[in-house]
Amino acid sequence: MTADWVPLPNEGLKCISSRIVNEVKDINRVLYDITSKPLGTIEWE
Amino acid sequence: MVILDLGGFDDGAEMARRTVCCSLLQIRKTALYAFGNLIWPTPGQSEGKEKSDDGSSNPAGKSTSSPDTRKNIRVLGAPNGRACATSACEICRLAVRIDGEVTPERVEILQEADDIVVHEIKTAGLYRQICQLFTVPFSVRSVRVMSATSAPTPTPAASARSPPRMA
Repeated sequence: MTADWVPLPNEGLKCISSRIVNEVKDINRVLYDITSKPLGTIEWE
Repeated sequence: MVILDLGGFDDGAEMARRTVCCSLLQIRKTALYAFGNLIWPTPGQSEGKEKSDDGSSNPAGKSTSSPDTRKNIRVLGAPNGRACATSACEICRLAVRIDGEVTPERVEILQEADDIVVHEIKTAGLYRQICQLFTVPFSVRSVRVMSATSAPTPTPAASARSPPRMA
């Protein structure tokens, strides 16, 4: 069983990236993980 | 320890995850006894928090927390005195995603970024269609130099008042 990544609209991604970089201190890069992975293996460690 | 009847694979790694999950549930249960005055949010309380976010200049604006709860949380809170999460549950939810040392500053950065992502996803009407979404802070560093054009600039204050709408 695999969890698929969601193809978010480009405008939404642009907006999220722009807001995080501009509004959150010390954050200067935003990445979107587009890997489909089995459930329970999605988390980062 | 009882292994919950969870779905998934039956390999060793999955069993290890189930054990960890059960341990966390046990810790939560213990914490309930030890910190009886903590309020553990039920699903749906986060909606109330979303509404009260407008009053961010008011540290007491978190309407879902009782004064006692806020006092407990402030121990773990951000250095500026603002409670960095509405509940111990939320702090745990954020802290497990942080690689390395968990500090109030890193929790606050993650919470702010996570709030933006969740807000924009909700604004786009996709929140109920996505099974799982989360924000993870990296421990690797990135070059700080930004181009003037790469960051189309809603000023922070302006975008806080009226967040840009998604198409």
